[in-house]
Amino acid sequence: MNERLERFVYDDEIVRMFLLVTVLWGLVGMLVGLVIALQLVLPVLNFQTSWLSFGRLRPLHTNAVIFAFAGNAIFAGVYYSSQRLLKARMWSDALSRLHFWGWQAIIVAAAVTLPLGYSQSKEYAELEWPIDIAIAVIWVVFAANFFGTLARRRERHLYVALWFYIATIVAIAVLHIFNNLVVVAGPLKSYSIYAGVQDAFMQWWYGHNAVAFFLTTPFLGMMYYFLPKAAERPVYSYRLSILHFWSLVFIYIWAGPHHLHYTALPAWASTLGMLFSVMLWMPSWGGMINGLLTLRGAWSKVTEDAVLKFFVVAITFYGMSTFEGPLLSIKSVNALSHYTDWTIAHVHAGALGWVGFMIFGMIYWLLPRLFQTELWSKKLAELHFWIATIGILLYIVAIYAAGLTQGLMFRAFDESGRLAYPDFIETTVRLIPMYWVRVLGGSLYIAGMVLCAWNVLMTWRRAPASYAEPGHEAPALAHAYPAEAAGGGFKHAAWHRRWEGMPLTFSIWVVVAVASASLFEIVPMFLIRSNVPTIAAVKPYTPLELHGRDVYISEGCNNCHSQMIRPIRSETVRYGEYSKPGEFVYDHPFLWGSRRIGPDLQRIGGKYPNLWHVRHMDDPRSTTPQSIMPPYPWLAKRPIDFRALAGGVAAQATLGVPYTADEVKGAAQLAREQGRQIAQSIAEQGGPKGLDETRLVALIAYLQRLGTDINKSSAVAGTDGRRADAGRAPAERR
Amino acid sequence: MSLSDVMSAFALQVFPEVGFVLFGAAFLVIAVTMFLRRNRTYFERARFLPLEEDGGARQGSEATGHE
Repeated sequence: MNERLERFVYDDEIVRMFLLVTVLWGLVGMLVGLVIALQLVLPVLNFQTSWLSFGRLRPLHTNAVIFAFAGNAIFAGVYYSSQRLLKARMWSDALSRLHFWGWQAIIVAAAVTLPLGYSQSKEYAELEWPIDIAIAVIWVVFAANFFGTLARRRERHLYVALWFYIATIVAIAVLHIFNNLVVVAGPLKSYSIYAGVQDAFMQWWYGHNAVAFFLTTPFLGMMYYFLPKAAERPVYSYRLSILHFWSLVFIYIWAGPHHLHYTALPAWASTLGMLFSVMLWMPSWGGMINGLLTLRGAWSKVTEDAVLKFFVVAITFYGMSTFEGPLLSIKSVNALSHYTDWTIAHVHAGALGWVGFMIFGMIYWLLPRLFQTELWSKKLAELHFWIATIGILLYIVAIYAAGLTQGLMFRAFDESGRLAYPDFIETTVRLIPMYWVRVLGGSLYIAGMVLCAWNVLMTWRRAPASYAEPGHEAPALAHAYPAEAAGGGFKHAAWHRRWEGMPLTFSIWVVVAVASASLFEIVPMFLIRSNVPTIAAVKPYTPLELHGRDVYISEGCNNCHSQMIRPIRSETVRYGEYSKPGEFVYDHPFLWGSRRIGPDLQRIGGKYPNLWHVRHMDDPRSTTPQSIMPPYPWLAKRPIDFRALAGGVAAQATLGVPYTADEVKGAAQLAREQGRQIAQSIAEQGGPKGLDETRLVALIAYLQRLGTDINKSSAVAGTDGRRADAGRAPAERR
Repeated sequence: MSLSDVMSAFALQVFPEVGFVLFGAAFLVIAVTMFLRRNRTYFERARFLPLEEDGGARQGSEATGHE
């Protein structure tokens, strides 16, 4: 056949740009991680400074590592591999640059706003609405550029790596948009349109699938491209990769509710999440096996090649993490692990081991090719590998031990049937030695990152003054479909082979897979009334309490404190009556939290006098010796922004929270009056005077309200008029 | 009767079991069709795509590979 060849060059400049910022943001994100790890053992390192406190820096750490370090690495990998697999330059250089600079601007905006306390509170979705809109726009730019390149490709078949990229682009867009639907309350303030149980469900539908489609599928795509390249061998089983792909895409999206076992989430959703999480074992291990067996016959290279070493350990961690994930989703295991450091260990095994090592392997493989020179030091790359491996092991072993210790101490009873560790602080203090080992392990991992950065910098310095742009040749895409793909009928999967060459059809089926699975859970969750039995005694927060809730969110209190008492004896004895779905109907957003470095606060209302809270916020160790909580002295100095407070009440009313017109109109005045009463009581108890209009008073108002509504009246009505908790044993009171 | 009433009448406790059966069946269908011997030639070419840039020279030596 006489085919006319077309000449083209790849755009490697954009890959170089993304690779360099991957290293830069990796350093920043990990250093912030080290700072917050140190703050847990040395609270003095919060420096009594608002923008350096743990609650504000923790989301900066997670966002920087996920969206800046991993995100830029994804873009580098996608831009490099897609061009080569499609035999086409990216569709638009301008869109590539807009994508790059737009994403960096988003990262900078996050790095500024999060420490300043602008947060939506939802994990991995903390960024406020203007940044969320920017993310959506830049993601569309990325998608347009990617799909444009697919359209003008010169290779009919879409290699499996590209399928994973398509799933990433489609699913992240859906997840990001639907989890961030908000009502705007100010220039950098918004409230989720969902409340309580439904908000929690949407958040973990998003949160779990952010792990799936941001930290898993793109890296699997990169594994299927870069591992064969580094090993110089094809993937072990292409058919297994197809099975891997569809199983992951269909199953992953269902698994989110396992983050909410034994909470106020309906049991059917919880069980559904558990079952599909357990099913994930299958495709995940299929992928791991496929990755490791790709190295068959090439294992001798692993001993000599740092790139392959990184990839092998990364895939091993993928296998370990995807074994542990389903294990943690089993309700009885989760009852022990949830709210403990076990989750933190699991996340870091995946993030440092799987994601981090995939990135490092890719960086070292790309460096000589992108900068058209030898890697500056292979020995340094080897040293990086060993230091980082030891670092991960120290980190996760210590934090696994911490998680198990914490979980067992939470639920331990003595021989007389009382809590063995009734003071929460006992469970925290016991973990400090393990937290020190984490600091050591994390420091080693970061030291490896510094070596990587140095190697990148020195390799870059040795690059030629101007890069060669080698030309490539390939025939234009034929209109006729290849014969081997067309025939064979249904049972021989001809249908699938055709999809593999048709990006639009393929993408539509990915959307169908993601959307149908999502809707199967979301529709019943929102429509079935019995999911959230209403409680007549539960009323909206007062304007001051609502503003106090905003302060709670702004300071990131939910990063350490849960507001969800599970119907487990050790929890009801420690904290009080278990949480009910109807208690959260006005909670936009929900604040159940996901870990307990400090105690649960669901029933904190009325437990301590106002003055205790004043002293506790000013210096936590004055009320709880050995506490590792940061001090919040600025709360007593910063005045309430009454305009923002009124805007918040109006926005909540828009969401359907039943505030009267007078309450909305007179929100500021109502807040002033309640603040005056609280400040007066503090002064009467011997505390400081003049706190009337401070953020501290607003926060105290909120904390004193928490969990008290159900004690005001026994009128607990379900949809059928019965008490929501009828037939259940009365929970133990504090 | 509202959509909410319709949904509320569903026996949601069987959702996990129904989901498990449906997706288990879908998994088996995909698995069986993927591993039919007849598809071998097509997949054999596809798995070498990342290596084509390097000349694809290894395809011959890999012909006895798994696929």
